[in-house]
Amino acid sequence: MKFANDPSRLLLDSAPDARSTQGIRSVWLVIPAYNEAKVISDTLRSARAVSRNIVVVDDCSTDATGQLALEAGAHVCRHPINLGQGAALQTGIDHALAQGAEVIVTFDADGQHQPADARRMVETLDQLGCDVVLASRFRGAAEGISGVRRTILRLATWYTRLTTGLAVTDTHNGLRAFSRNAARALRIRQNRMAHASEILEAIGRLKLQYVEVPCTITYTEYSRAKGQRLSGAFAILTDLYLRRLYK
Amino acid sequence: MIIQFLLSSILLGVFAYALSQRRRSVPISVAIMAISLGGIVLVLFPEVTTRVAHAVGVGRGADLVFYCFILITLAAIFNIHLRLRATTETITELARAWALATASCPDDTKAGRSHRAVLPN
Repeated sequence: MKFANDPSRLLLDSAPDARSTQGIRSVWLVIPAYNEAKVISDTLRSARAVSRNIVVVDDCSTDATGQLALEAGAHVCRHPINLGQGAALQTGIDHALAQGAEVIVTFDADGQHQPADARRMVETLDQLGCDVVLASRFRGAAEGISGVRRTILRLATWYTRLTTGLAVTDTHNGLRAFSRNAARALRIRQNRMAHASEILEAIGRLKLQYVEVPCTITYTEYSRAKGQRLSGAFAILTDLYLRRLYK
Repeated sequence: MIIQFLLSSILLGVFAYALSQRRRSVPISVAIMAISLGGIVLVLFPEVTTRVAHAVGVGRGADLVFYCFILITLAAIFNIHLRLRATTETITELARAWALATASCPDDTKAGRSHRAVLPN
């Protein structure tokens, strides 16, 4: 078997894709996925408009997610045990960095993000030379969002602004773009869902230059069923405080 | 009395185990040795408990022993909790290293191989 980190493949895989990212240095998409067999092929097909360098981290799915991702042309790292989305992101970031990524975009597997938004974020990162570009559904559009979800996210955003000092308008949005240096500085230790707050906290702590751009998030029947339950907000708060206690 | 013999021999066993394990963590084994020695003293001279209890403002010796038991149990749980977190981080690192070492490329499917990676020999 030929492994992705075989140095002989490095050049080929990390070559900039002129067609999709207009000559911007090598861009890698990191997509954490757990049991996304129904949608992963479609998500990857459209994500190729951002970059052909895609790594899907299969978080020990029990369905064919990994196989389908590989067939759709992505690199696949498979966790031997289920670790959670935060851990999957970190694994994907490590893989992309090893492949020589200059820009790393985190993207959700369930198809709620728009490739056009991701492309714009890569361009923004490149033009402004900043460390991080964050997406905000509240600067853009949140299609099909429920009132309760909107309220909880607003509260979470307010809380994040208070604790991190970042002037963000959204939180727990899986769409982000990092420069190589920012991605290297970041170490996600929150294996489960609290990683999203952890990333924002790290941006504040490491004093990374960030900008926030509008994005559109489409809530479908699938993404709602698959995504976070709103009671997750409480679990995330608990995780964050435990981590602070036992650092 | 039978109960004194039972309790003190169990505590003596705990003491001996802590002594034998002191290389793993000196502070923890010293703490366990001190606690078991203290326990033996209280078992052999129960009247000491009452005197100590009165000295610190607790009415009965048995209450003081109970309060100490709660504190010791909480400390033990806290210690286990810390270890569990450390173990989880180690497992994460291990699983990540495995996932990265066995990452597969799109070419692997063309050759008809399964994406389920095999550890290199």
